[in-house]
Amino acid sequence: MSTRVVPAQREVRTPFIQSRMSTPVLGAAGILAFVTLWELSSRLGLVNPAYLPPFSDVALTVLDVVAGEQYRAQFWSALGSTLLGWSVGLVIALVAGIVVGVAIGSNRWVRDITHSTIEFLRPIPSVGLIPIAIVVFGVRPAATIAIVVWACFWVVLIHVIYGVADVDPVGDATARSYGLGFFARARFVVWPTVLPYLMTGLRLSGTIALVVAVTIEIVVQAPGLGQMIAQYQSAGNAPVVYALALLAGVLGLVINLALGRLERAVLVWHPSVRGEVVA
Amino acid sequence: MKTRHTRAPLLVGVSALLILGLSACGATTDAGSSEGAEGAEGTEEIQPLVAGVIPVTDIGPVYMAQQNGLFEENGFDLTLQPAGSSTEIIQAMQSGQVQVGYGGSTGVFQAVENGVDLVIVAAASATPDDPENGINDLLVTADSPLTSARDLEGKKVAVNAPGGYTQLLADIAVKADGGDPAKVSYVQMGVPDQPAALDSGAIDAFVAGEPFGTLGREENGFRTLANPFEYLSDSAAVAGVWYALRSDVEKRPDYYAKVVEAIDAANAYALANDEELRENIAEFTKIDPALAARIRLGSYGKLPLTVENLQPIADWSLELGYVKKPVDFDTLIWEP
Repeated sequence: MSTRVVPAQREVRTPFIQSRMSTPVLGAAGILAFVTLWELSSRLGLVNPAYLPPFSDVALTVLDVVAGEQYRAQFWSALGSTLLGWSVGLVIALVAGIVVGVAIGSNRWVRDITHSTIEFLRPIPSVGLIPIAIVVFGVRPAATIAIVVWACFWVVLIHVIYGVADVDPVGDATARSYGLGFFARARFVVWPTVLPYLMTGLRLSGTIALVVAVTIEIVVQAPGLGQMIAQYQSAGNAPVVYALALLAGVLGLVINLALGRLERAVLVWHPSVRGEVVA
Repeated sequence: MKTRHTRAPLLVGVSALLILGLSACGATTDAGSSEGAEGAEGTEEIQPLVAGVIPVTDIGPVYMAQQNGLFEENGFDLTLQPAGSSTEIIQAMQSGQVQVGYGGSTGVFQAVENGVDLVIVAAASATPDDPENGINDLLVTADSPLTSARDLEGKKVAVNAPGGYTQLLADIAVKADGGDPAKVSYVQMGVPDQPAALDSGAIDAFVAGEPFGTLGREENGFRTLANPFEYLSDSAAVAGVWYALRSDVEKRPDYYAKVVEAIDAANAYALANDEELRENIAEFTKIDPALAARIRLGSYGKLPLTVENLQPIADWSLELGYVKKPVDFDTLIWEP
């Protein structure tokens, strides 16, 4: 703990990090500690290595899964299937969420009428809808996509509704008195207000969509990473299962980082991202 | 302009992800696109056949036949569509995406009782007739105080699906040993997690499924408490079956006659080629080939699909309350 007083003008409020270096360093230390704990608990027999192979073994298996002759083809095609379900589901949820959200959010009457219904439907666990999706779509990618859409649609919808509701009435009135038409107002007043909300919704949805997609694949054996995990689990091949779980985690991290960067790139003009710009 | 620069690599990245996802479109076989209702019965043309399967060793014979081109020779373009349970397969069947499905006979009896009009078209697997080599033994730890199946009263036994085939087997073992199955507390648990749970003492026994029965015996020294098959019937019984919707079968009897013929041929080949079957099982289930060569398997192609061979499981299902009414075999087995 340093007791050095930071000069007042250095107090820049950045949302995630105090300094540019601390996060990666601390993050790496955390990961290292976790890996060491894993490795030792398995090596020292605190946990039966048959059920939890040491990290070093799993790391080698990861390389094997990604590039080895035995698993490579299956892994990449599974990853492709998962990402296909993920991306298509996310895009559909995004479009539907924006359209419905703007329609609902623009009018207080509609907002109040639909509020209770949305709050009722939103908490239905997506995994609970698997049987319905199978009846309707079969065990095809369509079933996976439908449930991904369901899970993400509500997140996007809520964010868009609140975003539209958050439009500054003064700004809107000003735009009207300057004679801006409906589309011009949508473009210059509503859209910039909604965008930050929408990007948050998108970033949350990106991870939710991945979790839901892999879960469904495990449960209904739809093609993808989840099916591959279930398959090797049933075959009693623990190292591959852990390797796939790690890779799924890395995939989630990559998706989150990519969407975070997208958010910052799209909202580069927004005060929350811009921070204090010294003119 | 600055924003353009920051955005470009990112867009490239996101589109690369999208392209990777979309390119998988071409890689994955479009299962289920075959519509089951084709009026014209061509004898020469290749017809689509989608089989709903659970990824277990019992699918080995059909998978091997698919790999060897036997289904193609019979005029079928076979797709094995994996599912998580018989329920899912039946649902996919009702929506016309699956023509034939695999399941345990108990599950089929229960579905028929619940109003799903199914017919059994072919045998998938039978219990092994060698009592020393049970595939679904009740396993306990080497130092377990339990001595016979009756001791399971009040103990925790893991089964993968409550009310399903594995629980029926455990019930049979307990009942035949003079115990009361109702006093056993069953815990639902995935098959892969059962050995670890037994080791840690979370459960007292589990109904083995391969490869975990063999692995548990080899790695953990688990021992057999009871083999339910000893009590199931005097000889072997058909346990896994291929079934279809009665309406589908009646609509296309010629098509299904050929399906049955192909499955029977697959079973016959599996009976004669055990080593090759095990290699194919390893390939299909991803079980390590060396392990697949050692695991215990049911018998394939040995027992024909007859009422006598299905009766033992039907009788036990009724006695233990898995079905409420006696199974009506009059029209349950479909004969081409």
